[in-house]
This record gives sequence, structure tokens and C-alpha cells, in this order.
Amino acid sequence: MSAWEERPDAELLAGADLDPLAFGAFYRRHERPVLAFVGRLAGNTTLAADVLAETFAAAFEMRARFDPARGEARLWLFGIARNVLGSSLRRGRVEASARERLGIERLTLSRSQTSLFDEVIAADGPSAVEEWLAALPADQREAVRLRVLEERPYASIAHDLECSQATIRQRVSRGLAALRAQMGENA
Amino acid sequence: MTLWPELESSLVRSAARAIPSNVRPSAPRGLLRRSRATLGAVLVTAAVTAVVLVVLLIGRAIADPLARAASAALHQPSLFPKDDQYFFVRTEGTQPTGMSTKSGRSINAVETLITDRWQSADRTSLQRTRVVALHFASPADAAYWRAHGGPHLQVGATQSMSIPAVGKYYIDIGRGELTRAQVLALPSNPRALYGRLVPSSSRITQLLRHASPQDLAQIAKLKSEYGSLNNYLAWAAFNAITSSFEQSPMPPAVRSAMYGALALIPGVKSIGLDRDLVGRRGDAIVFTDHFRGIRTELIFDPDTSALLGERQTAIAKGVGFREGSLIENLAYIDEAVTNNLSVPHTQRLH
Repeated sequence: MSAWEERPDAELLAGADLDPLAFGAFYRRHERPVLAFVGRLAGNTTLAADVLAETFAAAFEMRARFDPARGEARLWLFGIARNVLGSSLRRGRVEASARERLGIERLTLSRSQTSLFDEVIAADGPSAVEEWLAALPADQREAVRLRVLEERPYASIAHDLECSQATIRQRVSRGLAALRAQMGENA
Repeated sequence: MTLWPELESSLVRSAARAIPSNVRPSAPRGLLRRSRATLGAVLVTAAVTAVVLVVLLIGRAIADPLARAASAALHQPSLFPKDDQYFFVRTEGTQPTGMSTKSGRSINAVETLITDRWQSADRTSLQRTRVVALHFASPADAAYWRAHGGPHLQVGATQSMSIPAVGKYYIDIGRGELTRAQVLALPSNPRALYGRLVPSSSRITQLLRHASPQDLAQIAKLKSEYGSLNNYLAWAAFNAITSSFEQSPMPPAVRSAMYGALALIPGVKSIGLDRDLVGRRGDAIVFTDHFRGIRTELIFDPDTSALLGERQTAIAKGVGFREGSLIENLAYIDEAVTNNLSVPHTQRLH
């Protein structure tokens, strides 16, 4: 515990310019939800751990960009994590540039930590994603969930929701655009 | 209670090492520099600024290359976009990268990146980075890569990042984002410009009078980390001014004043002519941050004042890079004002 524990996220990120323990508190506060979010998307605990590490390293580098007026720190971290994961998938290896620039060594999980991570992802993963989607209107939220997270075909979604495929495509598109705008990034 | 204490420890250690890098993150930097100071940070800045103002009053001769650049800048056309236009910058740079095998072994490499950045006040800004080449850091790294079947290296991969419009330019010159009108209103006198970038001494006195014990402790911590407040201030001033060269549209008179202000910073030295990453010759200056162990070299076109290149080198252990290794080598290839997200070919910096 440090004197930073009760401070708001924006103060922790600004305070990291002066006291590294502020960023430690920020990490502890958001480690579990970010892991759950990444684990749900990555579907692989080892990959999720690697993305988790890179996400916080990138967050440290980008801390000056965080603006609480544009959304909560957790959503901001989700956006970074999603970008790291997307970039890692495109490049065929887990993005590590932020860690390299910061001189953070590659870490591996012990067997017990892997089990713990598995438990967190299984227990919290769905709720973390719900939190990510919560900002959307209900129709867009449902469309994004079915299409992006469950990877169902548009035709199937349209059938279940009793509307046209074009409508579903529009909802998914608008939902993702809204999420990107909220996260301040484009994948 | 953390799930992964090893990661938390690594992050905290890195934060301790890299505290200054919030002001000067690695390239491409333009869209990442917006700063929001807390009261504590303002107080710290104010306190160290008080010291530098004294230094500035003492003054020293402007180095010749910077005097030439300041003069040349006055005669360059203004590259200042309207709020609905873009300020386009293309850079080419190298930076360390790496990959790991399934067994966890790290393979070190250096990738060459071309970054295009369109910055706008009123429209969504975009930064697009493409990996154009990758070289292994050593023969051993190359051999290890081959021994593992030579997996695809993803050269050619492109990453894009957009930043929503906020009505301001991401110019970090001591006080964060500025509107177009604020940039245009910056003083053209170097000393006056400094005065605009930092709080007045009366304001510093006022702030320090009301500083909390925690703020005073932060000031003491900075002093110990940088050896002295003078060192910290020199570093902060150098970064603030050079970041404005790297990414920002500025009217000619303000740009000229920036060179004059840069020459006033203790520790900025001319090293004669040097070549940038793509081989262009220019006047070079260096600033060495002995406490973080990083040497930064800037290369200017003596005829136009344009910043051609920037090179950062690790000069000591403890910054996450091997001693003597290049942290970053960046060349500014082109810049222009555009009406849309297209790539112009002005060859302005050639």
C-alpha cells in the first residue's frame, strides 16, 4: 500500500511523473479487469499475460494522453489493450515495443500464477467485456456482442434479432465507431 | 493484492527510471505529448523555472548554428494550417525491437519505420506507421532466428492511430495544448518567449508559499534525481523547445525565437556538421542528460532552419538500452499543409 491508493486515476497517472509508486497503484487497481478483458478477447492465458504487460507499459508511456473527461481509465486501458492485441495479431508476435523502450524484461508466469490468471479470466472475463460495451445503446451493444465477440454471421444475427442484415451491419459499424471514439483510437 | 507482483515491480522500476520520458517519449511523438500538470507538477515546474530564469538572466552567447537557424527561420514561408487543414509530417526512423521464441528467448532487432502524421485542430488527426525494414541486432540474433525456422517478420505491416479533434494543436511547449491563436500570439523575442513558457517569478513565489509538504517533497525528490534543479530545468527546457520543432506548425518569427531560446539553455553545444539517418548534412547540436544517461543530437538544415534529424544515444547503463546503443535515429523527410489525409510530395526538407 502507498499513499496513492485512494487517489483518482488522473492523479495517479500525473503523479507517476514524480513518484513511480503512483503508477504501481494504478496497475494494482486495474490489473484484474484488464486481464479479464484481454483474456476474454485473446482466449489464451499466456498471450493475455503478455498483452497485459505491454498494455500497462504502453499506458505508462501514454499517460499524458489520458483525459478523464473522455472516459474512465479502465475504458482507456481497454482501448490500449485492444490495440496491442490487434497489433500483435497483425505482426504475428506480441507487441513489446513499449516494454523494450522502458527496459522491462520479458516475464513469464509461474504455474500457480497461470492458474490464478485462468480463474480471473473465467470469472471476470464476460463482465469486463460487458463493461466495455456498456457505453453503447442496447441495439448496438447486442449487435457488437454477437458479431465481434461471438463471431456469428450477419445472417444469423439478423434472423435472431428479426431485422435485416443491413441494419445489423449498421449497428455493428456504429457501435464500433462509438467505441473507437470513446477510446480515442482506431484499430 | 496484485496477481502479478513481478510485473508491478518492473513497471515501478521503469517508472522510476523513465520519469522524464513523459515529456519526451520515443518517436513518433507528435500525438502523444499532451500533458496535464497537477498542482504538484506545476509547483515543481514553477520552482525549477525560478532557477532557470536566473540562469537566463546571466545569459550566454547564442551558438553560431542556432543563430544561423534563427535567422534562416525568419525567411521561410509559414507552414501554419487553418484549423480545418492538416499539418503533415513524414519521418523515417530506426528503433530497437524484438521478438521472442516459444522458449522465451529474446531475439533483438532494429526496425526501420516510416511514419506519416496529419495533425489538425478541428479534424481527427491520424498517425500511420509502416515497418519498411528490419535488421537483426547481431549475427547471433540472426542465427537464432534462422535456427527457429525463420518466422515471417511482418515487414510492411502498417499501424494506424487516430486522435479525435480537440480544437487545439498538440504543442507541448511548457503549458500543454495551444489554440492556433495562442500559437500565433507567442512572442518573437527569445527571452520573452521563455517568459511565456514558464510562470513568472512572482507566480512561483506565490505557488511556493502555498505548497503542501507533499509538493515540497516532490521538489526535493526531483532535485536529488537530477543532481540539481538547474539540471532538471535545462533538461525540461530542451525537451519543450525541441518537441515544438519536431511536430508543430509555427509562424516564422516564433520558430526563429525558439532557436534563440534553445541557445540559452545551459549544456546545449554545437558539434559542427553531421549527417542524419538518410545522409543529409546539417549543423548539429547536442544536449547530454548525464543523469538519465541519454545524449540527444539535433541536426538542422543551415539554409532553411528545418530540423532534419534527431538521434538519441544511451551513454550509460540504466536506461533500458546497452551503453553506446542508439535509442532512436529519426529523419524528418517531408512536411506540408494539406486539405485532406493525403500524402503530399513537396520534398520541402530535401
